[in-house]
Amino acid sequence: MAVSLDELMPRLQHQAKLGVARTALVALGVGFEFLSRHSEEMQREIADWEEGRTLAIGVLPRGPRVTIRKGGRQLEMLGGDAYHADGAELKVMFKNVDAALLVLTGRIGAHTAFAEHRALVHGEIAKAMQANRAMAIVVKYLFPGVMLRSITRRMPVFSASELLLKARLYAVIGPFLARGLFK
Amino acid sequence: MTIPDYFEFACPVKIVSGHTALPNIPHEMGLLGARRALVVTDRGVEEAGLVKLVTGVFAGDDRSLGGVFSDVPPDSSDEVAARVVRAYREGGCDCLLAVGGGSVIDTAKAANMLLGTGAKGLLELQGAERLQGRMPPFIVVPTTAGTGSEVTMAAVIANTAKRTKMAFIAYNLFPDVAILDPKMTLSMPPMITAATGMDALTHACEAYYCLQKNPLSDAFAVAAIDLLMEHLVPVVRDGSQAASRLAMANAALMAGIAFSSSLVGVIHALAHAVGAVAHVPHGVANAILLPWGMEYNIPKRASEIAALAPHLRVKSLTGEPSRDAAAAVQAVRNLTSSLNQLCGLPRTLKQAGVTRAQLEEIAATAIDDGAIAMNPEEVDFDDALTLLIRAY
Repeated sequence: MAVSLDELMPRLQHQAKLGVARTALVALGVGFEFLSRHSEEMQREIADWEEGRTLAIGVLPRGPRVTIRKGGRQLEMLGGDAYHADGAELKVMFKNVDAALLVLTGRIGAHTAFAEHRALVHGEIAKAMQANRAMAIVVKYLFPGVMLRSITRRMPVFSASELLLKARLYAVIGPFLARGLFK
Repeated sequence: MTIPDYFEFACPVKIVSGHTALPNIPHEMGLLGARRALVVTDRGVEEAGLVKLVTGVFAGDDRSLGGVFSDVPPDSSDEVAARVVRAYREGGCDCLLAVGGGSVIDTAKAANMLLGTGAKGLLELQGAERLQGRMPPFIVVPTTAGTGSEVTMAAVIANTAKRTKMAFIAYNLFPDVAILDPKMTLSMPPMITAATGMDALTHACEAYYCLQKNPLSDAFAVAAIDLLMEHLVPVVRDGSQAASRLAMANAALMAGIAFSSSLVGVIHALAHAVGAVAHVPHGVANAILLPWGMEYNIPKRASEIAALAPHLRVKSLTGEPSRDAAAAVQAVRNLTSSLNQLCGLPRTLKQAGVTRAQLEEIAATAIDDGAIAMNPEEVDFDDALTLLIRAY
């Protein structure tokens, strides 16, 4: 049966949005993994996370997702499949892809998304707050300063070594992203 | 007035308010399609004779009570909620009727979640907005004027096995009906009246400047503040005034509607932690922390806090936001000072029994509280500790 352009366009737009969200979620996962190895700030933040804690961030109803797991003293990105995400003890799920993109493309901060009811939380709220703080660290390194100014409540101040780390993350994110998308 | 880019607002609770509101309970049950209610309450409410006032209204009515569960402790747990569910089923009930303060209402909300979802335990339901489906009919008769739980979409219940607090936030948690009758709060002692009133004032003030403030929550917040400023001190002086008691009940309800939409911030995060670590009553902790938390947010929310000044009865306004916001904070300090003189309401954390050694643990607990994310100004561990030291 023929599909009209009016019917096709919204579907294509939706698929494109899901693609952007998937890439951004993997970038987030890469950021968690990379910074847990190289950032003292992130290492301090996750020091009290118990071994094996899993966090999934994704898009409802059946959109992309990424799952992070604490193993040893670091975080590991488990991948973007539903299998890992469904089993996570803490899930932060955006109600729809448009809501997800607001956060994932740096138009609003995660705290604003929570305040605006744009995401659901499955699990302990205290752990969600801990995850939110860890995510703020990833965002600090992932997004350029001009975006951070509008999405953070307090503009982060970078030391020289942190600026260097940010540059390293930007340098390695391409290959990591490619690996993450196929993980 | 700026309309937020996006906001959500809900209050599906029918409000029945007045000097003869209680006798409407059976009729409201009928409207909800219910015939047999389980009363959920605590020993204190029962001993004060308030449960009798509620059970008495069923005389001669087709609707009836399937039992009275009065074992809700001050800090309720999943085990208590499970016992409420058993009592509900054994009594052949089809409606929950909570008669009490925050702990009773939260316990009833938790039991209602278990009944509505068929979940085996509350652990699998904790989180934000994950609850789906319709819950059984649920009526609330508050016996304090402060928590606003009768119109909120949140509940907090202890997990006995894990020794943690479980938080639940969901639109399906709203009760169906709130019955405000001044007879239910007439016997509240001055100190509890003052603390619960300050709890309501904190809800209204934080609602007015926190991240999800919106024109609808603003309207409820300022109406609540106006009522509280008119009636709180008189009702602490003389609690027998039914008209003031009814005004306070409405103020607490309106503040509850406001903060259920716009949420609360650092003051509540700290107050929850002060309660968890040092067992200070929530209203007392809020009363102590309110001026400090408002002051902390002035750099980000000067205009909003300044706009509260006339409602907090600041007489001379300068038109300069930071100065008027500071005057609003001073008005709150004057109020807590009056309440301290009238009934001994603590003004510092030290007076409330908190030790200096507990402050770091309180700060660490506070930054994991969900309310911290809703505060306009960033709050990290050091910020939280600084605020606590100021309030000490």
